[in-house]
Amino acid sequence: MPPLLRRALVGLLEIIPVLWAVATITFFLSRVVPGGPFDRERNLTPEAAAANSAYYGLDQPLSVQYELYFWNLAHGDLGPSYQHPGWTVNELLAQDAPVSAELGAWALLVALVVGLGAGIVAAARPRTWSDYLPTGFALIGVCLPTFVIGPLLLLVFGLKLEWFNVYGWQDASDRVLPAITLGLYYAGYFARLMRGSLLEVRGQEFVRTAHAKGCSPARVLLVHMLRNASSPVVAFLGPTIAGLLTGSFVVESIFQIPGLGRQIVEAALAKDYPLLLGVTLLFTALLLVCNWVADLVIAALNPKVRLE
Amino acid sequence: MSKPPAVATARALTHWVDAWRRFRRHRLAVACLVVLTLVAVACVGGALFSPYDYRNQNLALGPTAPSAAHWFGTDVLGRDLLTRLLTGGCVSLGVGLLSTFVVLTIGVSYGMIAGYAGGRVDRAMMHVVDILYALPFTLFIILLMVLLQQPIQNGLEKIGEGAWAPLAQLCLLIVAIGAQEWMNMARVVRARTLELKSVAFVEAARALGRRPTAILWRHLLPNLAGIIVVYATLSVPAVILLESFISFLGLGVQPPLTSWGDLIKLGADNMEEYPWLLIFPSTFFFVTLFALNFVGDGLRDALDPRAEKGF
Repeated sequence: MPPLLRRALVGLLEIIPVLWAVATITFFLSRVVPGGPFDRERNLTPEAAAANSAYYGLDQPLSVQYELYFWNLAHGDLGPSYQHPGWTVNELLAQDAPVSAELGAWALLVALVVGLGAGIVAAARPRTWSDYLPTGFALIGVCLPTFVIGPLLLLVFGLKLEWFNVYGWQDASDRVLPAITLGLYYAGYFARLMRGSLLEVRGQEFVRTAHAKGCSPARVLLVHMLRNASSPVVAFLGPTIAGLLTGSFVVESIFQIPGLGRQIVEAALAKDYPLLLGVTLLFTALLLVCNWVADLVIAALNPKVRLE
Repeated sequence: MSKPPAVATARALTHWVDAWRRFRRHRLAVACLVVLTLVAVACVGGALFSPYDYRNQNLALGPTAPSAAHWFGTDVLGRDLLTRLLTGGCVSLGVGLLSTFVVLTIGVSYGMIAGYAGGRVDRAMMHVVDILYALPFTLFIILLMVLLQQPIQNGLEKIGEGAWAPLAQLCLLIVAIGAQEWMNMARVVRARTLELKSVAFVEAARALGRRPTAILWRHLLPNLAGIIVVYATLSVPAVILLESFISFLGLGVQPPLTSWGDLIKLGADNMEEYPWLLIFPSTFFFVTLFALNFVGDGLRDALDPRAEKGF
């Protein structure tokens, strides 16, 4: 078997037990702990409470519940939501996921374009103003978390200058502020990574050769150096996607975007366990797959890893 | 053949003195250390000596702009913002330090055991770290906070100590955050332990029949101190960020207690009418985070010369 295929299969086989373990632990946590969404409804008669429990299957022995949950899970059914009667978790996720995916894609675009651009400009002429300016910008990006930069952007560009709508997800212009908010931190991080790894490559022989054979400085930078400096950036894509997913909790709450992130926060505050569990499992699966892909890409790019 | 113990202490001393000299050359890091000290002293001092109480509401006064009586103004409930900011700073910095202690305990022991054991044990232990790395821990923390909020409240009320519930929940948060951030530390410590393991003094200790625990504790740990300090410092801003993130979502510190994330949330909710409620906490948070990052970078340059340089 080719080593790359073997690596892919082994990685895939590893994902399943991890997902199972996460699902088991989260399931037992949510069932063993007393209290739930129906506790707060004080006027609930015992009969109504019992009916509620029976409806959601909470009166069954734990082992039966566990079996049922996993049976449904294996069929891709995440169960009914507590907070939204009549809705299944699947329906809620299917409704909100596209919004979050779009926000994530815009944010990733911001992070890659701004971050890699700033990193390349900075590395072109180190220790001059064209280095310090993007470097300083990257630093500020890294030290300003989404929940600080988001409200500030909203205050300045939404409320004072009135360039953008304050809330909502209707017009194309509504994408601008949330995407910048979510992408800026990673733009800063990518700029740091790109600059650092370009500067590391700069001193190597092949760069001198490229210069010597008469390549223009731009060609040396963009063709010869960039390709050799790109692997840390690829490696960081996995964690970035994870960060964009969790970052969207805050951004969607600030800008009132009807996506998964806001749904999670609302589910957490309302103690809608099935929804929370469903989202946790979805994110876990997504992240494991992303990391699996990133690992394969790195292996494919790097012969040393490929042949290991 | 002259006095080996004396030589040893002298060298140990110069190592740290040397590191301090290297750190001092990093101007920005020194400036940031000063800023950080000022913020920390202000937070503790302010929380202790402020004429106002962070809990005392003054609904008749309501939200007022910064003035001579309230330097940073008051919030929607008429509470002095400066006092709340400094108290919240104590919570944020305190959570940062305590969570870092959790990171330190788990990360260092895990990394040292994996590195020293080597072989199959090492591979299995680091594989676990790799898997944990790929999981959405922030979501697990949210899940944990949500699930355990009620049981903690009920449990404490049952023994008549319901007032301690916010603090108990804060402790839970500290442990949960520490449990998310220890993996970097474990990786770094394990890598350095692997290197140190084959150095002569460790072999000598083993040849003399010292037990593994003694070798880890007495011989390896002192030699790991440098990188442990560096990575502990670097994890403080990450930990503070996480705490603020969770508090911003309303799942971290519970009122009347507050932290910077909580204050930024309150500011963001009211920024249209009372922008100072957002601007002051955000500024404090930004300055502290910035300073912490640079102190960490400076320490890394001083104590871990082989590490990749930041800016």
